[in-house]
Amino acid sequence: MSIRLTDIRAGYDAFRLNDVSVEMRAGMITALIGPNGCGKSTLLKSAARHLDPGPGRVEIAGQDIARIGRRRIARIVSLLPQHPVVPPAISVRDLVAYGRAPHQNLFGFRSAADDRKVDEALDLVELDILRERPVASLSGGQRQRAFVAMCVAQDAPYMLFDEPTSSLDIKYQYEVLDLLRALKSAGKTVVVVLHDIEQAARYADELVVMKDGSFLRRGAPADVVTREMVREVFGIEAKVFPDPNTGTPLISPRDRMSDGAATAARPGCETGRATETVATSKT
Amino acid sequence: MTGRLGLTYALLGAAALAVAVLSLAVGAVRVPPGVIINTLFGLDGPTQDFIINASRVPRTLLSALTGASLALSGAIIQAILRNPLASPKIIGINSGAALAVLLAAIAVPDLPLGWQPLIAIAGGIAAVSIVYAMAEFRPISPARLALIGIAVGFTCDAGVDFILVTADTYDISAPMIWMTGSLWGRGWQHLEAVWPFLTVLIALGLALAFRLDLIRLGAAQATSLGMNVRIERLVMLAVATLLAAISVSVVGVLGFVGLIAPHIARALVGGASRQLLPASLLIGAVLVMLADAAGRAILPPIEVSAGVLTALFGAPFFIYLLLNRPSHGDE
Amino acid sequence: MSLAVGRAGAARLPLGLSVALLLIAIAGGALFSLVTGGRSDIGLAAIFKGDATSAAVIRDIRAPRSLAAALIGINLGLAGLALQAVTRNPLASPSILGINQGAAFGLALALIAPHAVPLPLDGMAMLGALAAGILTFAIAGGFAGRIDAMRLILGGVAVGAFSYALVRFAYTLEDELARSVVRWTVGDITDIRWPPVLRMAFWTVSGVIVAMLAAHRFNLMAMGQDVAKSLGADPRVTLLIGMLLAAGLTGAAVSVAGPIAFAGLIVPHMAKLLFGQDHRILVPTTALLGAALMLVADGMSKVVSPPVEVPVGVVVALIGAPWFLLQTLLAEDLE
Repeated sequence: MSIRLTDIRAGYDAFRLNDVSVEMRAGMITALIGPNGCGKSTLLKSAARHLDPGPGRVEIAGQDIARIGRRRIARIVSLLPQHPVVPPAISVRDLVAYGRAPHQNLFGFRSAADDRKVDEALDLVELDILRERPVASLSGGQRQRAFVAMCVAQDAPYMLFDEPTSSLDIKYQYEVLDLLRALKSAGKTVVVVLHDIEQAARYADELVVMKDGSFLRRGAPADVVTREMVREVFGIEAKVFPDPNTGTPLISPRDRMSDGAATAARPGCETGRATETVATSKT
Repeated sequence: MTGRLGLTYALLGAAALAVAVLSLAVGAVRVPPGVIINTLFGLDGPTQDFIINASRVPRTLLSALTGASLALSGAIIQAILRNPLASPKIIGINSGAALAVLLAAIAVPDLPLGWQPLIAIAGGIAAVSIVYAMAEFRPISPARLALIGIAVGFTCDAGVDFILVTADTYDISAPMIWMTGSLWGRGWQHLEAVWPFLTVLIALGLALAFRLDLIRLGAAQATSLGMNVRIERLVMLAVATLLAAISVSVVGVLGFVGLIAPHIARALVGGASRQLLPASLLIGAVLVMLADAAGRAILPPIEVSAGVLTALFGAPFFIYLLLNRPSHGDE
Repeated sequence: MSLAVGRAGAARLPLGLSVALLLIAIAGGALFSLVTGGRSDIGLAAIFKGDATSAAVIRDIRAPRSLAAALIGINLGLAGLALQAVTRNPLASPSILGINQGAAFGLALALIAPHAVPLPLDGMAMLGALAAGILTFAIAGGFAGRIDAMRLILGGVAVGAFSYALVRFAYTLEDELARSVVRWTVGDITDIRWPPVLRMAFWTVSGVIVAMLAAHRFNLMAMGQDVAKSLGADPRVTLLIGMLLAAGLTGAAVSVAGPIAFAGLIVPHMAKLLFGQDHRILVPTTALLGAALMLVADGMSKVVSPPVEVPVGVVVALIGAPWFLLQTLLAEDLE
């Protein structure tokens, strides 16, 4: 019942994934992490078939997604894009109701069941009091919750989110992440691209690390987020230690000014040269 | 909410009726309302059969129908391009249709009237295809699309001017009047040539309202909701193009109707397409009927082209929209 | 928006050679424009033999017309150059920014109600041009300090559409005007005689002088408003100079020929392709190039579809509109 990706070569003119094969397990939160441009968003989009996987295959719950139509895909998997468009002059409730589109006919007549799903979604994200407000008038955090509600209303068992916390204030970032956790407890399979490694480690059951269009490793946060991984993937020297509250890994980059003496002892104290040394020592 | 919407529609409908009566009454010969009612419903008393039935009724119907079509076309185009400044004219439909009709008028001087819509459609589709293809050449942004549309429009206009000044005046005397965006001399035969197409297209456009709303969420979101964005967007663009091109084929270039009607509608009923499209339709009908009636009423017996009046009022409105838009970036 | 034309790497001829070629082009264009005619061509031989009729035709009809074409080319070319410089927008030109149409409206007013307006024909055309230009610049935010590229073009198109609707409204009122509809909408120099040409020559000469004096300011503007300001050239002053220059030159041209579109767009572009971005060189070369282009266009207007003469504005639009299209496709960062 997982999302299984095999030999995915999706991409654009300038960038392509290098035959990525990975599995995201059912009933869990899987976070995709890696530096900018590593292909994590591309991988996420191919999982929902927004991008053509090339010669590869996308199987969701054992079903080959290439063989079914768009509407049926949309009933199985939802994807919230990174910068969702806010249409002018539209109410929160109308926006969330669009999530029902894959279950409706071409003209979008709502059934009582549709209305119930929409109300449930609004309750879940605690926007029911703002339902008649124009989406454009909401704060950033409220707006993002409205879009999450739209995905909830879509009612697909597999839910993908592309950097849902980007450009939100920290309070709202955790609000959205808590929502993802709530979705997991409701039985959903959640896959999320996250920029912040610590947040990813804190909220995800499994991390998938990508670099330069390739899959690097997968595993529980405590196993994946190590000093070596941070150096290899993100190119920084850092201490990694468990969060006193949650036990999940925290990252403290070495302060180049105060640790100057320590670094100066090593050949090449700048980041660029340091990574270079790492690369050489690897080969 | 629903009550308020209902009231809005009722008021719009009443406005449309009132303007229609006004349009029947004014012109070189003023007809009092009583006479209009007598004539229309075959009651006793003084009547004005010729002026009302043979001239003003078809003209009023035609202006309502084309106004509605242009407005609907504009509303659809603004939604699929997610650009509040887009309109049939901006993406080159009007000029393309005009050029095609003129070319046909020269090539086949005694072409039956029934062909004119088809030729206008061909021209409109050709222009839009060029605009669309060129916009695909680079990442499509609303600003670039608008500029390319303007440029294609200019190019077609240059061709139109060339034909107008070189052609035999006899061949182009009819297109010449038509070019200025006027309902002068339009009668039952013009209405008959276009109403079946336009009514079907209007119905189709209204039926697509829900899908249009999904597109307004952006391509990525629409895809994730199960939409085949490329194909459905093309279908909608085709409906919008046909609506505008056919309207242009009978009444010429009525600038700015397709642009401003959706904006007025949005202010009245909000942005959801299922409300916006019918409201735009009514407002477009009112605007063109009003422009035509006013053009006849201002300086009788001289007629001011409806197209002149829509531009005189539409252009400042467009500028107002430009000024009230965030100065950078698109929606 | 940055300058999109004349990218580095375009092969350029040496300046002297280019100017020589330009002068030859002008001479050739002038000859082309002089010898061709709607009704009958006058052979080269006839010009040099000096038979009386031909001489009269040349002196009274062809020569003023050819000179008018050249002057219009200079006026519109320089107006376009100034606008592109002060807006830093390669799409700016009198017709795109509505200035042409504004001039046409001023002119229409003067023709309909000569006693009700304070100025003669060319004065009214300039006033109309100025009003339209100021309106467009205001819409684009030019006087608030920062010009928005999209607003500039779309605002210009709207101002143009509005002015053009006013022109059409004006000729609805006046039957006499309606007969010369084409002339007031596309630009035509068929029936030009000496007096208006001489009046325009005065404006052209003044315009060239002002443009030469402002060339350095235009160069500073190319580096952006902030840099221009820190180098001591108030961008708002430069904007005003460019605006007045463009309105004056355009108004003078329109009062003689009607609104000729696109000459103001393509001439500066060609000059930049040939001569680079220095306005001290661009001002004279744009003037020469404009004259050459319009002379050739005038000659062509008489030979493309004989016996009918195509107004020269149509010929220019047929060349210029596709050029505009090409520019919109190639221009960088139009967002």
